[in-house]
This record gives sequence, structure tokens and C-alpha cells, in this order.
Amino acid sequence: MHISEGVLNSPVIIGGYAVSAGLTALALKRVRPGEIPKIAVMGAAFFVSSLLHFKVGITSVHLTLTGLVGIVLGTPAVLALLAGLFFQAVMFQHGGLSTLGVNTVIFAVPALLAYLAYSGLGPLAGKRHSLRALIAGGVSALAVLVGAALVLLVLRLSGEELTGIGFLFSVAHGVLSLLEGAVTFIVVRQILKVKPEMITAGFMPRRQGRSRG
Amino acid sequence: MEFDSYADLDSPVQAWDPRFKLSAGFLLILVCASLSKAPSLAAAGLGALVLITLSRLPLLFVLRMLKAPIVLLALMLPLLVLTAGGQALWSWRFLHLYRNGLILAARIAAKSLTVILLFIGFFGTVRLNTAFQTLERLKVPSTLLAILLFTYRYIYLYLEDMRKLLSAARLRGYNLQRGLRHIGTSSGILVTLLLRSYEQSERVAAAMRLRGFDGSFRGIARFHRSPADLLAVALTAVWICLLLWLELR
Repeated sequence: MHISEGVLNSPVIIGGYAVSAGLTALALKRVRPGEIPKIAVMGAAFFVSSLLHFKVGITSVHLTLTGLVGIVLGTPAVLALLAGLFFQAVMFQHGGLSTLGVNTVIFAVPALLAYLAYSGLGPLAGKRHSLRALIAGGVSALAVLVGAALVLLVLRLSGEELTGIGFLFSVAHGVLSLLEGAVTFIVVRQILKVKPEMITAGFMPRRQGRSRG
Repeated sequence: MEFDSYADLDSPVQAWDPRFKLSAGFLLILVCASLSKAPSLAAAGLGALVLITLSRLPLLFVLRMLKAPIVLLALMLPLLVLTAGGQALWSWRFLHLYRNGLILAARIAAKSLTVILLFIGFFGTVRLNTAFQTLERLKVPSTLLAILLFTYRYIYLYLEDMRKLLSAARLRGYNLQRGLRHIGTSSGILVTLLLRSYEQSERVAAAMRLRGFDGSFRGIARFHRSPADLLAVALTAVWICLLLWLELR
């Protein structure tokens, strides 16, 4: 879901940095010093997990895990995703420095929406793990679609000629969203069985009351 | 090979005070990413090549860093040429080769490679830990820097964990080539990694609290400003003005 270097125009680059700065400031306000190592360690695990490839047809795809990051980390997911995107640019030259702001928005907004949606809908499932996992899967699938829509939007804002390729990208992510939803469903269901406090109570202590079912 | 493998080479770029180098580099990268005209893009590309030459980074290292972006461009740009719309230069049935697409593809390729070369030249010539300490001096929030540092530390650990988990799964018959048929196994690998990291994150957080970690980032790097650093900043400023003049004239 990365936007590569050289694709965006200056208003979009600047706008991306402005919005991502706002999201980062919001997330920093919610972080207490004791939570820093947790966010970073979980962020690193999500970063590495997203490198796992699945063969689909003649090609292979890798997951974004934005929805799952949002569900587990909550608002600080913005910081974990920003760190992950920074190191993807440094280690693999995916994305880049000029597009870091826009890419952060493309990943962080779906993660935050997934967190809000799961916080609202998750408790409705009570202690039925499968239903909770199904909600998490559905929310994650939608998060991928939101990310794809954001990519289409920033490409359209960067030039009319990029609309076609943006549309192709969105269609491809429609397929990815199904895969992401299925993987999130399996992952959340298994985690709820062996370490429910990781998801049912929320990662951050502050969210305990809100998301407990 | 790591991004900062050649940060200690003896060259004017490596010797440049990181505070000035990273600030000037970030600004130049943003300016180059905003260019769209051929003369300004050609000049920017030439400047990036001069920077790489001055930094004495080995050619093989630079090519290795460029490999992934080039592969991505090779996949993306042909699609752009076929979907851009406007005046078609060549048509066959439903396939059209668009003039706008060709121009835009050339512009994106030039801009992308220039920006990545600048990124390697400015940021790959500073040790990553020094870069974080520089960012602290440049008033980047210490909480964010601490998260970046911790993430950097644990990414390598989990890459190794993931490699071991995949090896173990392959020995039991897991095959990536069978893709979606093994979605359960792949998800199981993710669950194992996430559970381990969650438990480790609690231990790390507890250990850091015991050591008195309060979220602040304390760098120990000492920076020395010299007239050469200021001259390099002035040259970068002149170069940015020249690029903007070429773009806007």
C-alpha cells in the first residue's frame, strides 16, 4: 500500500506531512513512558509479520495488518506504523522520506478506524470468541479498503493521469482485503483462546474499561 | 547489508556535521520531490550523482539499495503508460500507449531515482544511532525517538525469529507455493510471533521501568560545527535556489 518516491506532487507531500504530524501528536499525547517499549516491541513484531508472503495466482502478496495493529495497540498504533514505515524506507527502500507523511496517513487512518470500530462492536459479542474474531476480521478487511481508497485519493490529487493506475491498485486491494480479513479472523480467534488480555482487555491499560466484553 | 554500513568512510559527506547534513538533506529531498520540469529534474539528478560520488559509497552498495525501487518502477510504470489517458501514440484493440503516460513515467522514474540517491547520500552516510541523536538535537519528540530506537532493536530480533519459525514450518511440510491452502499455518506463525512479542514487550517494559526509564531520550553524541559544515549548508541552499529557478522560470 506504499506510495513510492517521485509519484506525488508538492501539495500532497506537504499535506501528508501536516496530517501525519497531527496524528502523531495525538498519539504521543496518549502514550505514557512505561508503554514505549511495549509499543515498539509490538510494532516491530507487526512489521516483521507483514513481510510474510502468500502466493495468490501467479503472484504473491504480503499483508498490511493495519486493522490488527489498530485493534491491538489503539491510538499508539500511529507511532508503531510510523516507525515501521520509516524502517521500511531505510531497510528496503519501500516508500521513502518524501512520501513518509502520506504513507503514514494511508496506514494510520485505517488502523485508527479499525480500533474505533472494534472498540464499539467488539463488546457486543460478549465472550463469544468466534464472533469477536469475526468482527475483528471484518473490521480489518474494511481497513484495507479504506487504505486503498486513500491511495486512490492521493494519486488522484497528484494528477489525473494517475487515476487509472490508482483504480487498478484499489481493485487488487479488494482481493487483499479478503485475505487480510481471513488472517485477522484466525489470528484473533487463536489469541483470544490463549492470551485474551492481549485483545479483549486492549493492549493499553487505559482502554481496559472500554473494550472489555 | 545495512543502510549505514558505509557511514564511517573518510569523505567530505561523511565528515559533514549530521545536524546540518540531515536538515539540509531533508529540505533538498522535499524540493527535488516537488520538481516536474525536465531541466530541473536533470540538474537534480546530476546533483544526486555528485553527492554519491563525493560520499565514496561503493557502486555495488548503491545499486543494491536501488534494486527494490527499480523493480517497483518496472512493474508500475508500464501500467501507468497504458492507463494515463489522453492522446494515444499507439493502439491495438483495447491497449493504448498514451503520450501523457510516457512523459509522466519518465518524470516519475527520474524523480524517484534522484530522491532515493539523495536519501542514500544524506542519510546512509550517518550511523543510524547518530541520526537519532541528531534528531533529538533537532527537537523531534523524545518519545517518538525512543519508539524508533526500540523498534530498530527488535526488528532484527523478530526477523530472525520469523526465519526460524518458517524453517520449522517448512520441515513439517509447509510450502509457501501452495499459498492460500496454508493460510491456517501462516496465521499460526503470525500468532506465535505476536504472542512471543507481547510477552517479551511486558518483560522489556518492566526491565526498563526498573532501570528508571522515564521515556526521555538521552543522546551522548557530541557534535562539532566547523566552517566547512556551514559552507556545505550554503552550497546546498544555493543548489536549492538554482533548482527552484530552473523549475519556475
